[in-house]
Amino acid sequence: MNNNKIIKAILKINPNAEVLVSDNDINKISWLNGTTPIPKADIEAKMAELQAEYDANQYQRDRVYPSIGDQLDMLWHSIDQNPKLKSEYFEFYEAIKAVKVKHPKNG
Amino acid sequence: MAITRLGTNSITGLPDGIVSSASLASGVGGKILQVAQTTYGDTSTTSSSYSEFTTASITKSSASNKVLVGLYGNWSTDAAYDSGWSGGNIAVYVGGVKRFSTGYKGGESIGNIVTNQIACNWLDSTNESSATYSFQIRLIGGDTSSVGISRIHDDAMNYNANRIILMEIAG
Repeated sequence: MNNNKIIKAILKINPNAEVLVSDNDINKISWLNGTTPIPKADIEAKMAELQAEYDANQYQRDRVYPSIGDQLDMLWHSIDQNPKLKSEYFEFYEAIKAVKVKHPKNG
Repeated sequence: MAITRLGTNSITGLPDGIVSSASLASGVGGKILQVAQTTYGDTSTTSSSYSEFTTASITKSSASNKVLVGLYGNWSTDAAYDSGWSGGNIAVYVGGVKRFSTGYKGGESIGNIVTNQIACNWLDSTNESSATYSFQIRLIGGDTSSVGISRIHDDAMNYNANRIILMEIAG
């Protein structure tokens, strides 16, 4: 646990809350400038909820794909290596190849 | 009566305080009379009002001596809840009166925590025999962000970096 997690939970419950949190301790919260204190149990529940959301998104964070352009480029080169695929995906293959022929890479 | 030192023989038995610093030639003798160090914990705030996060006290041997006030730690700002940049101020109060301050800006419209080292030194020449310095922090910047001091994520070892050092310096 750190202060940031406590503060994120508090701000999720009350975006206008003014607090001072010390020593990473949920028992050391000062409620400032008239902010209505939030029960400790509510803060803990919100922290657990935010942690669950974070954990649930691990799959998306881990799946970092190459760009669409890079994926298509890899696909074209795979087809280029296989005569059967060239025939099956003729239009796609030839459209890309026409550009490559018209504008060849230098060197 | 002058005391003459003979060869390498040492002189012992002088009572405390019999030789004052004013009696020493220029450049002779220590100028730092005492050093006091204290540490503080992790503190974060969402408020734009100053709040105390630690104190440090010193009693000087002479009211005219100066105090070098040192604050060391890490800023930490969080703009995770959008709305522009976040930053902070730290002010040092004595007796409810602001004596020094510093500031930091970080974390502009990014969903992450930004940390940066803080190392501030102020020379306090106030004529007083003792002082209790109140270190206070406040948020400046975005409405729903926070600012803290001493955090680097969950690295508890970083607490070693969070110090207040007071040095009494002969006036």
